[in-house]
Amino acid sequence: MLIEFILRKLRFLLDGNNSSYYQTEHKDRTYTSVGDIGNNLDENLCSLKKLFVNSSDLKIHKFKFGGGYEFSGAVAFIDGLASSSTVTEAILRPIIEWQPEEGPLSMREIADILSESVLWAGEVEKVSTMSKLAGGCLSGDTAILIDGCCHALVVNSKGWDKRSVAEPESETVVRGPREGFTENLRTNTALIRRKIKNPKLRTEMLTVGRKTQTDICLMYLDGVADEKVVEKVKYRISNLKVDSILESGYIEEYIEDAPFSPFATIGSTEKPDVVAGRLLEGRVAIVVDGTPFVLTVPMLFIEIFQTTEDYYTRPLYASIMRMLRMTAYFITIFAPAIYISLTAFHQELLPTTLLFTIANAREGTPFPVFLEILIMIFSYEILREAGIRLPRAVGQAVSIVGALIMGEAATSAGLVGAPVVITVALTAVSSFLVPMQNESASIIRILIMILSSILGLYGVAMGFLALLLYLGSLTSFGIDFFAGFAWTRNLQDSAVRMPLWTMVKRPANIARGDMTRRRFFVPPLRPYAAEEEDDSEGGEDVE
Amino acid sequence: MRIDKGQISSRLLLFSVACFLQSSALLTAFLTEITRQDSWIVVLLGAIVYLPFLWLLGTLMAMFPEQNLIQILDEVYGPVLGKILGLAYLWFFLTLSSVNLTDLADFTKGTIMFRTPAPAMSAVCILVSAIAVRKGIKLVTKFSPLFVIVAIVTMTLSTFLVINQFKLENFLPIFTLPAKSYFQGTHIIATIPFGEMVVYLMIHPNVKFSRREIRKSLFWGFAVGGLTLWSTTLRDIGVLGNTVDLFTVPSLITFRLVQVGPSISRTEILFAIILIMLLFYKITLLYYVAVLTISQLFKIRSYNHLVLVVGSLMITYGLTLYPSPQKQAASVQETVPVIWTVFEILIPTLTFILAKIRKLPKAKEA
Amino acid sequence: MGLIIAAYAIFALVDIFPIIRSRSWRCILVFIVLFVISLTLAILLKLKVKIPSILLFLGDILKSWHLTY
Repeated sequence: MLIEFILRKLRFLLDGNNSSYYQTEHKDRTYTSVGDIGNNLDENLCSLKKLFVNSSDLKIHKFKFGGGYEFSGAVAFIDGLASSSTVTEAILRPIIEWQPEEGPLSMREIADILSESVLWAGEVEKVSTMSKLAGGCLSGDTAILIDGCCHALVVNSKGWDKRSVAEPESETVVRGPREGFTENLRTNTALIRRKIKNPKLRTEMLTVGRKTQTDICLMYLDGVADEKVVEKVKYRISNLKVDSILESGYIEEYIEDAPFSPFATIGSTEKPDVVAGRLLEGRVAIVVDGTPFVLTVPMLFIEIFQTTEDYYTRPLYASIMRMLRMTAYFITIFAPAIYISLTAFHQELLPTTLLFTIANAREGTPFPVFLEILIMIFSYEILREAGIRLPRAVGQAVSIVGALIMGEAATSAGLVGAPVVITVALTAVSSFLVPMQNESASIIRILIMILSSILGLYGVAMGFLALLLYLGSLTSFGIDFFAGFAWTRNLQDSAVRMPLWTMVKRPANIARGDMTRRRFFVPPLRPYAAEEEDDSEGGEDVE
Repeated sequence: MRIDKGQISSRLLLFSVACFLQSSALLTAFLTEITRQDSWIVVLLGAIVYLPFLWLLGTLMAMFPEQNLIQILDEVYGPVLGKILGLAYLWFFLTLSSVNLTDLADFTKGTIMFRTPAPAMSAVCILVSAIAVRKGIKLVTKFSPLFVIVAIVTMTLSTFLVINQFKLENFLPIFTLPAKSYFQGTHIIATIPFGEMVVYLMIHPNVKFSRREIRKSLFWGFAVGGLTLWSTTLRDIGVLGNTVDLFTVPSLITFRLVQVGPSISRTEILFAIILIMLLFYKITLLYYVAVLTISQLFKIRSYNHLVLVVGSLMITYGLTLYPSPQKQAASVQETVPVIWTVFEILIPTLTFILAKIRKLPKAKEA
Repeated sequence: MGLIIAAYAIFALVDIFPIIRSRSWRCILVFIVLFVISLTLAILLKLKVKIPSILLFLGDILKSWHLTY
């Protein structure tokens, strides 16, 4: 049996992915094989109930309408998803109060008359298959079945409880709009539309996920976004053969260029103004129903350091903050490694007094430096994860107490030295300046620590070069990931944030269509430029 | 047949050439042992002597825009002789990269990591380079602007920091050495840092350029790199004077004399790290050229899987080359310039003359 | 010694399968030749056998022709 297993694995390795081992297809178990709507109302209702396996929240109400109550029909909706006031006011009341004119009417005509002149609804669709009817019910619409008619009407009556638009908790700003996305797809697309009032903003709906049938909306500015990227995104999403999409993170994993990389090549955000800014630069936004996190594609490495606040505050301060963020990112990855290499390999680089302090601290500790730092980083990760999972009331106290006690007690117990605690604290705090990169920074930090404990500063240098080369080789949907730092003409937005009136062109590698943001390189006019010099310097003598 | 489909712009080629030359700042040691305080004159002379061959390189690139060196040799010398010369160039590129790799490992071992065995450091360097080489020329040259700027900033910073120890008398006595030393020094400079630009004959098919632009990029890259080298030599001589031939790596001694504050010392380790990064770039480029030569010579379409084998060969071959540093110094000063001249100057000139006689590029256009 | 063998084994395994999958015999031949040369040199170096250096050999030839400095 073992031999068989090994032989099978060898055969797979040699054949690659073309082997028949992975060719099994799952049977399609969705409800697309149920059939069409027939003419008999009772049969239809029976098959609908069977389709929903007699669920208790599928409400079916039979009624009679028409002048002498000669026609019979039924409404079907799911309690909780459909708003009952719409069902009663906009659907049942007009139908039951309807008085047809004289003359024989065929069933087909009844359906048309109902949808066009009787119902008080803005979105009515005529369907003829059971699956579409069920799909409509599951989205919150109401289905109207008429006895004798082989079509049914699906009316929009969505009204479920949803969270109101509030400030997102993962991205707080000091200055700037505080709206955040919610879990409802239409609310999110509406929030984006409010920022960009342009008819060229395309929204295209897709449905993904065999069991969850999640709605996904692609948004991009026609004429500005790169068509190749749009095509790629559409192709990848529509070819997803998966069971469920619960969150945009699922989509991110399925369509990204480098799934094993610690760096995310697809950006995600919770704020509409961020998405609007990125759409205007030529990117594509993917809105997923059920999650407030919207994906933006493609993503560049430099975006990690750009926050929207940068664009709303003054350029000098924003530039300083951005460089601070880059330094913090560097510190959070390399600080433990540099500490290890300085104390274990290159003690001569430290000033003498500092050397004495560190030597003193290391006297009483039993572990080698690498192990000390590893223990402290491990406890920091535990604390951080615990802080997220704890209920809010207890969280603050426990994390503060934990940090203080662990740091203080560990030092006085002699487990770790004080300089180690300081280094790890600096690392931890720096990691919060670039919040979206916690995952990548933690992994890379450990790898570089290992390198530095083997080869000292040479290992750190090699690790840095390896990191640079790896980042340079990543692509995000065909665009170079590391493009913002290259020697291009458009350096106004990378390491520093130049004033808005200098950013004349859109980033060349993302936008393909309309490249200019502003027509001329026009600095802002001084307020009194049209008049003579302002007389704010002392007054002239008043005659 | 193009093996590597990546395309780089001619501006990137400029930075690549500049970085390649700046990385040789570590190797000025061999020169200063001969010409001591007149080394700056020799560097200048070497650059001037090499200029016509740079023009020759540019002309060859313009004559055969889509073919790299091995294909040019095949075409000009016929299949048999072309293959033999190709094998000779293969040995040349392999030796170049191995020598630079062992230089890096020995330099690191000598200055910042005293107890680690040198092959370990070579192995790590090869592993990191392999990341770049597997992805092709685009990744290899992608960070050269960054490295060029880092090198220039380091050079200016270090010059400013030691300028208080600069003495003009250190340049004297001038022109007192026998003529043979000047000749030898010029020869060394023209072949070892500058002459190695012949490797760009393997890379130029991947550059988007016009016939005029390639010479311009080469020249300006050469100017920037050569200027950095020259100012390094000037700075070292100005600070160290005629003691400069006592040290194996004079630049590092200059850095050691940097006084930043009362307590910060031995900052040459930081500068050594920067020198290591520059030398890493040169090794990556030479590694890429070696792998490309092998795959071109044996007509292998994708070289991705040969990268690590060639790397391991480079490490082990490099370890066999020089049993001791004294033999290395003697060899570099005496025999290596002559061997390198054959590959870098004689064969390209011969190729150019033969191509002109046989009117080769014209036959392509018809 | 064990480290050398392990390192060579690892990178042979990593590289051999894609080459066989691409079925280009020239590539496999070149790979095997280079691998064998490199492995031999590594083992010989580990056993501290003196390997003559090609550059020094060429240098001696040139010295005998009086072409060097």
